[in-house]
Amino acid sequence: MKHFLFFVFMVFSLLAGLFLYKEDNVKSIEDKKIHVYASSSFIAKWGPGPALKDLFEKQNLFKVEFVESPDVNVTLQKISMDEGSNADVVLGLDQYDISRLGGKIKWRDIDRPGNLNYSNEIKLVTNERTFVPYDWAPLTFVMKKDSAVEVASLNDLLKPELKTKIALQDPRTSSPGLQFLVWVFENKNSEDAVKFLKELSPQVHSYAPSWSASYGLFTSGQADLVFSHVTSPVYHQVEEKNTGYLAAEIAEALPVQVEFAGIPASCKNCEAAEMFVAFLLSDEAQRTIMSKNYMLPVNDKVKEGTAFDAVKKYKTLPIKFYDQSRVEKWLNTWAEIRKNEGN
Amino acid sequence: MLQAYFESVKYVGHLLPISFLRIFLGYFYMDLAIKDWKQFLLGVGGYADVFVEALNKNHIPPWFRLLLGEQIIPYWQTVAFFLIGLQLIVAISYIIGYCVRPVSILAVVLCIAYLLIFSAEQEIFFKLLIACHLVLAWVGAGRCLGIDYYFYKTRRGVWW
Repeated sequence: MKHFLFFVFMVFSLLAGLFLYKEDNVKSIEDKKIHVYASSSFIAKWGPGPALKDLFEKQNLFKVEFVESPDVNVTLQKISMDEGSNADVVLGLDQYDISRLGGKIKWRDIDRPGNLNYSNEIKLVTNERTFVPYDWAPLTFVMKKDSAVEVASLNDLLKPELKTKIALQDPRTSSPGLQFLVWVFENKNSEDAVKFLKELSPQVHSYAPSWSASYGLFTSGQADLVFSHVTSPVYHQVEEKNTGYLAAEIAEALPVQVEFAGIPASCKNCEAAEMFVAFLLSDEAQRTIMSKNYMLPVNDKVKEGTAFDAVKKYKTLPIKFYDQSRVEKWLNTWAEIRKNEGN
Repeated sequence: MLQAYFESVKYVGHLLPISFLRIFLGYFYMDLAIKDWKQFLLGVGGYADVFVEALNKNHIPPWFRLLLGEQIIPYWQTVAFFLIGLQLIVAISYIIGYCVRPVSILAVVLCIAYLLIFSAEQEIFFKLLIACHLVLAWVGAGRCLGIDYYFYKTRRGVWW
């Protein structure tokens, strides 16, 4: 028994010693570091994260440490529960994340440069005090140019030739999926929207859990249409030299997804975090985000002379922060329709 | 002690395959402890994420959900330190074959904690690990290619 207890005691003493020794070293490094929570696609090798990190670290003394945030909900829950949380910046929040989950933690007000030439479509949200928009794009249906079906309105999605040919996202897990649901409810009265969603179900190949999964269905040819950003064809044009994709022009005004950066009030290096958020709005950072994230820059002049300049101006819905209960109601209605399918 | 370590192969050689399993598990726990320790020092990811994700799972019992939300997550660093300490104890004990019997029981407790916090897909894996730990405890796996043989020879008793 005493051997065992002595052994346990020795191991824990060793670990505590290691911890105390390391803590001093780590503290001095941590003082010069900001922790940025972002999605896996943002911080991946092909995403804008690594290039932004290099640019920021060249211009400042601070180091950037990206932390993968698989889900905004989990990230905010973690920050709210952990008093010692080191999250300095949270990226990838959209309008719905802010209205549904933004209240989970307190946010810091952010000063921003006032001389930015914001795109008209997003001017409504540029005065937000706690969240700074850094990219945006309207959403519509993306299809191949040689597709035999023409989609010019929401009701065109019910055409018989599109049966099981539409790739959509699950609105409970995917932001574009939620955008689509809200789009339907914004353009139809409640009764018509429910009827439309019921009639749409047989047209949908599947409600994928994420945008990337649904886009995979489209690129692999399993679906003819996918709900995606109007900038998606630019990706094919630039990366694959393929101009065979188009973003459908729909009669109804398109929903817009805006991505925001926020600084939790519990930030450790708050000033450096503000510097990082301000940096996201600089021309260089905006260009990087645009070219790697395939979203439009908030600073309109950055896209001049690029492939993004050719993206059409679409009629868009005004950007709103929806009431949480309203969105939940729409989600519940959708879930109810899905549950009753096949009955 | 060193002589006893190798001598053990001669006298309890039938336990040799079990000893390899023990050493492999020791290596597995050492690897786990090192990875978790690195993340623990960074203060991000690792157990911090695991605890929060566990809270969102449906299969955990209500009492554990309460414990997780009220006690474990607010003090996650202390809990993570404790869990990493246990991993290291299991790792060292299994590799050198010291106090394998009581440590196996400790490892079973550790696996039960894993069963509660990790996802349902990993359930079978942790159940298999529990079975392995129980076998190691049952046969006294530290007595072959382990320091336990030395103590077993000199003191006997159920601890070795």
